Amino acid sequence: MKRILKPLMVLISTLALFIASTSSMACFAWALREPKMPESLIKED
Amino acid sequence: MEFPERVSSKLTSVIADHLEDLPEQKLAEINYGIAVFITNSYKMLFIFALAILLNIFKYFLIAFMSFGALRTFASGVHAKREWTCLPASTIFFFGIVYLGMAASLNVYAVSIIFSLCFAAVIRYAPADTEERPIVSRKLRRKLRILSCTAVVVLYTAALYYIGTVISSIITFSVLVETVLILPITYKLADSMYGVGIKINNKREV
Repeated sequence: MKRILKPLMVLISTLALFIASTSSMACFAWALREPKMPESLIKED
Repeated sequence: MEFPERVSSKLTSVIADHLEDLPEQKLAEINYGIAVFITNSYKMLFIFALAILLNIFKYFLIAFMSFGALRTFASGVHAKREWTCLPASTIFFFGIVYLGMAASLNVYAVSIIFSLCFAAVIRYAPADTEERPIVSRKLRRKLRILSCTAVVVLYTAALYYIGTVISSIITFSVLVETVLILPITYKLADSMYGVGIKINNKREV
């Protein structure tokens, strides 16, 4: 079970990081609510 | 804490247990990514299923794509609570579809609506929220240009299908999304417009 869980967690984390970074540049949430974005993702000049 | 955030924080704890070398910052980003995914996916599944049941899936998809194409760059007001989001999303998407099916717009009506929307997008896009402020001026400029481009592309599509339900649905999708970026809509929804600009101005003082 552990052998499957670790790669699965890596996969979920990678997808979540992709969604998070995409969401920091454009509005990923087409539905009418969005969770609070962490400060590390706020882009600055 | 809302339902998507509750699930995402539980899942993030499991990830943190299995991948021990991840820093706090990355875990916060993973938590946010999962929450965004959950927030969108279960609502979309519900709305997609409803569109299939109502036998309007084709028109719904056009509304969804047109609305989403502009919303991706222009953003706009969001619901504060999870329980208000699903009914609001459902009303907006199905309202657009049924309005498009009921009202046939001619070339003048489409052109006037798109001109007003284009002016509003130039003035107010991108409209960020307290949850996701857009602080970078460069990013704001880029998103404004992309929003205007999306309006022009959708206007071309609406003209191509003029006199059909598709044209009306595209036009109403752009109209609804444009209304969602207006400061007056933010006031009505008790949200703050231009959070990113305010943060940027404070830092520059």
